[in-house]
Amino acid sequence: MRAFTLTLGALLAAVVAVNLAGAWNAARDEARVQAVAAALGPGEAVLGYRNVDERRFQRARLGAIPRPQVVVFGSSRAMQIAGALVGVAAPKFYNLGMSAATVEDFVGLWEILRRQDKIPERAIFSLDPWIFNAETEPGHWAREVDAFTAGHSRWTIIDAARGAWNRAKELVSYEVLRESARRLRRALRSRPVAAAGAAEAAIVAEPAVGDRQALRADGSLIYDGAFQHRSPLQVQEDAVHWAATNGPNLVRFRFNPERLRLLEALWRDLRARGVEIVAYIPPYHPAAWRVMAAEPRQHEALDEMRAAIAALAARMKVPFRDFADPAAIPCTADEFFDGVHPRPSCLEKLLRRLSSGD
Amino acid sequence: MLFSSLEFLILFLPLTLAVALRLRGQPLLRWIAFTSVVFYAFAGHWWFIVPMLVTTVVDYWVAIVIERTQAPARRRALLAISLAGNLGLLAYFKYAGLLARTVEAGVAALGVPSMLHVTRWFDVILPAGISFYTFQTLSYIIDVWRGAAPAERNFVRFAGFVSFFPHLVAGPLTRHHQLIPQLTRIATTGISPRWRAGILLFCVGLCKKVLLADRLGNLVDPLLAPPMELDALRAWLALAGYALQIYFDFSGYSDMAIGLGRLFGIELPQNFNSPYKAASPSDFWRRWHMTLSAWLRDYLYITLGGNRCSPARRRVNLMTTMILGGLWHGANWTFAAWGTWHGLMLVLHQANAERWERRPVVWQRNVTFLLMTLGWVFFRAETFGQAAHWFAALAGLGAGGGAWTPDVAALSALVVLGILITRLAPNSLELPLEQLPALRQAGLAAATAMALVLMNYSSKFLYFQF
Repeated sequence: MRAFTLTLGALLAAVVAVNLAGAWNAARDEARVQAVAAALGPGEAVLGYRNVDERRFQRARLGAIPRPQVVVFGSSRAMQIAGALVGVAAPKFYNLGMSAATVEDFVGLWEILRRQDKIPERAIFSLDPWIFNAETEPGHWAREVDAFTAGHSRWTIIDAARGAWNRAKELVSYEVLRESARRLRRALRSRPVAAAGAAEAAIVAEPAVGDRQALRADGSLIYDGAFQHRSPLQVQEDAVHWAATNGPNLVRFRFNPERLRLLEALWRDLRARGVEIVAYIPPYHPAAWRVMAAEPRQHEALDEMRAAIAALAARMKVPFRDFADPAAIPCTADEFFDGVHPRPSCLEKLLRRLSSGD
Repeated sequence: MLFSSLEFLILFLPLTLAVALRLRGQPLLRWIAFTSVVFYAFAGHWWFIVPMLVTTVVDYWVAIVIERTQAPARRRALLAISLAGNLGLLAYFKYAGLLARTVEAGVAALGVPSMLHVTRWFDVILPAGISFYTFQTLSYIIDVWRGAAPAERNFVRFAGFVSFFPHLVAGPLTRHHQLIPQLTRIATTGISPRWRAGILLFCVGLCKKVLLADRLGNLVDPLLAPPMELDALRAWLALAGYALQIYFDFSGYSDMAIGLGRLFGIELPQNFNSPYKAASPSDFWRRWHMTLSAWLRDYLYITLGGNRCSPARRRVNLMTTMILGGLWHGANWTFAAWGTWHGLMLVLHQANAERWERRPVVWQRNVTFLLMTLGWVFFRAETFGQAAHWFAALAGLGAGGGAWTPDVAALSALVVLGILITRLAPNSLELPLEQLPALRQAGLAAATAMALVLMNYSSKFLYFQF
């Protein structure tokens, strides 16, 4: 039994050690992220956003911004929405978007806003299919989601114990191990994951961003020039390829009703605090949409998700528009960066239709 | 609470064991019964404990009264009360929905609009493990009624027999004579754990579940998701993958349950004996879910007349037993079809036993594996339409077609590995765990570490739904 105990102990200790080292590395970056988030002012943008841990950065930014009037919850597909498109300038507008956002991300961000008493007047939700996919692991905002689901009226000892237990479990979590290994690999190669130190030096005035990728002070994203200026043919090929081969979030879609219930609870809480909610499903590139419509599994999964959101919105009387089909806006092929990310011109029309309700 | 969860392994089990090690007599039995109820309260919904406690109280009382009663008619009435209570609960939670859906579908087929919408009344959650503990208490009551067992007078010991957490949710289906004497013994001597045999067997089961069953499930489920467009290769891979998934899932659970029992000084009955090495359908049922097979044989097949009747009647008994055994697994007519398939295989094998025996053993094993595996189509499919679709794909008539993807490659590799393990490796209970060489211990530890790290992504056990 000794060989068994020693081997098991050694391997688990190694996993815990890697995860602790990863956590230490992340904590070291935290201070730099905080500094950048605090230094970013209206009319400025952060360069090198691609290297920043978006969730950490958003958490830090929410601590730095004043109470916004309008916020956007969504994924990278909503991150092009800047204050100018909504007609509300920074700092009254803030885009809470982040890559591959899930319902847990929405709840986590909302919980932070609520605790800081930065309740907005209006919330725009951009809802992607994957947010209800049981195959997508949440993995973020555990403490905030726990607090929210526990009733979020007070932080009880039980909530604290549950939160501590969930974090302790992460020490032997495969997902965390992968992330820690990635961090440490980069750190060993002297390429910090959260290159916030570099970003701090790279806070520039918006006009100086040029062809580089950057994040505006209102949380909206500017893509780099190479991505923005791809030819329509390139974009179309990319869109078809994405729909045919990637669409995995839809091909492997398993509807998770817990996530829908979490979204419902979130909307109820926003409502209870006087926040006006509008929601939409963002459009796909017309070529990608055609491929998806012809692929039964993708289509079926998308329909399931669209029906679930429409039913929830109707039940809660939340103004909702389903723009998955770009013709519903309408947005043309040249109004997309790729298969899934609409350009500002498309988003502007989308927002106009959303607010007019027609 | 799942065995394959950190809550169970780090909080529940050590605390339960630590206290149990310090107790003797009635307090120990009380502790085992109490912790088992706590375990069950976390098995899905807290109210699951209500039907279990009702069953426990009613059967405890009925058994004592049956034993005291001399008049046959009154004894029969008492037995009927218990059977009605047990089967009534099972019928309500498990089969009423199926019956209501079937009646509604029949009414709708006649063109009569449904007025009652009765299915909604029976749209209830099935308490995990109800089929297992109901069968356990049924066998106890029937044995007391037959005079084959004494009624248990100690309520806490009886409650421990019904609810002992290692076997509560998905077996092994443990009979009173297998467990009550052991509970009596440990109450006297203390639990005296068999640490090495228990922990190592638990780890073997955990690895089967997390490293094999769950990985197979992750690759098979997308293939079988609607609209199930499968070419022949994918159809066969999905079938073999599912056959292996359900074996590793359920036998892994049984290994964990037996391992946990050993930590409390209790030996639970063997539930699997390398069923995919079986050389005939009859042999398969002596090796697969052995405790259920034995229960069905003793309380259903023999009660119907068993082998002591005409060949025709025997076949009817066999088919009835297998169909009801199929329905025990779930409230869906596809499970009845699965039972029918196995009944037919058993009847055909019996009728051709001599010719079968003349074939080489390798042929017998391979054909048995093929036949048993084909039966899983009915078990896994949710509708007969899906089953027909899958059979068509197996015959090469499927609509899909596709490239050799990484998922297909991974599933192929896992299927080959799974077949090698099930056909060549010794059964878990045959492993010399008490004298495992250091190198093998280290290998098992490495696999266990991997399973523990991947455990967050572990699914529920397939047999929880039964």
